[in-house]
Amino acid sequence: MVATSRPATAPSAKGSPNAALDARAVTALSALVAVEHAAVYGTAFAGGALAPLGASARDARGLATAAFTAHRQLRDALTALLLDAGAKPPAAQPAYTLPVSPASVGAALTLLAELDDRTAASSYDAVGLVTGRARELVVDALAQAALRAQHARLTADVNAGTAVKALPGRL
Amino acid sequence: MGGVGVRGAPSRRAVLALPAAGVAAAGLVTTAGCTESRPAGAPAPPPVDLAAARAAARTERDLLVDYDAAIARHPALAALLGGLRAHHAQHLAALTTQVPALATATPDGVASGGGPSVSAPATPSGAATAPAAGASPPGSAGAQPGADDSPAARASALAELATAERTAADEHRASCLTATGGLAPLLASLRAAESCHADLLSLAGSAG
Repeated sequence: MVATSRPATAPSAKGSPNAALDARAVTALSALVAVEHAAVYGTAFAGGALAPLGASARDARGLATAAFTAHRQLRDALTALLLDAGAKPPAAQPAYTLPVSPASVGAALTLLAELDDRTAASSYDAVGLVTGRARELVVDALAQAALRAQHARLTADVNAGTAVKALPGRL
Repeated sequence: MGGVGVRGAPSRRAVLALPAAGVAAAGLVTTAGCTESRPAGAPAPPPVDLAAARAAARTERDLLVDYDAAIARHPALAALLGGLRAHHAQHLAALTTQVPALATATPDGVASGGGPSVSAPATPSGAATAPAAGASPPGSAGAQPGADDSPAARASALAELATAERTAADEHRASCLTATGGLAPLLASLRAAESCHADLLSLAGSAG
């Protein structure tokens, strides 16, 4: 993922002094970018799989489209943050192994929930290692991912008791 | 994923296994902030975190009271609200596990003996239970204490809880942005949880 976790060498070379990120912050944000690359791939894949499934897949398609847009925005924001700090964000891989194959509406919703659970977990990991604007970004990313995952589970008719997590990102 | 090895959080099982009051008894409280000398890595939290944790714990206790009142007035909502209430008890336990000083000291530094009251009284007396003034829609029958269990009153109770959850989420978020790296992840997770609760309550309110 992170080819070289470069030590904090002259972070002001490219970005403003405010954009400085220490090595641990760069590592954590890079890990989150890698998760977002996979989420962009996975949500696009889910959307494609849902496309021919007709009216019964309409809600799931809407969730897939919204999730794709959100993950792409988060990836871009994180990438900009890393570039501003003079770090090199990880590139996307050509393809990813999906945790669930979205062969049906239910499976696609499970995939969407799983992808957002991963975003929440990776955001949780990053929160304590960043400050300022970067922390704001990952804190909000955690909440939004938790909400999307919950929507996906509720849309899949998962019992409300299990659709909601007590400590999103952490469990 | 998870390439960052910073998951210092206790496992779910560990959190669940430790009621808040039991944490102190388990000997996790070592110095309780009484000594000024603080060796590297000592458990005494920075003041900013202690204040944030206290505020978060107060928020969680208030929500427990709100849920208890709503469950008492609307038994039909117990299945939904009971599950969310359990989350808040878990939140309080997680805060106490992370900041053991919460269980042992009041803001004045006086040891209070007992832990935070995770199991709040089931029926706070009287009518003063409206968690968010102005949240009840006009024209609803109005929540008569202990009496009105009409669908309108239930919807109103759900809306009030959703408002309280949103307020709590905003408070956790603000605290999270100024907390140190040790406490910030938990506060971020609490913020996400309350946002999800609010969303679910709003859904339940509009569906009912």
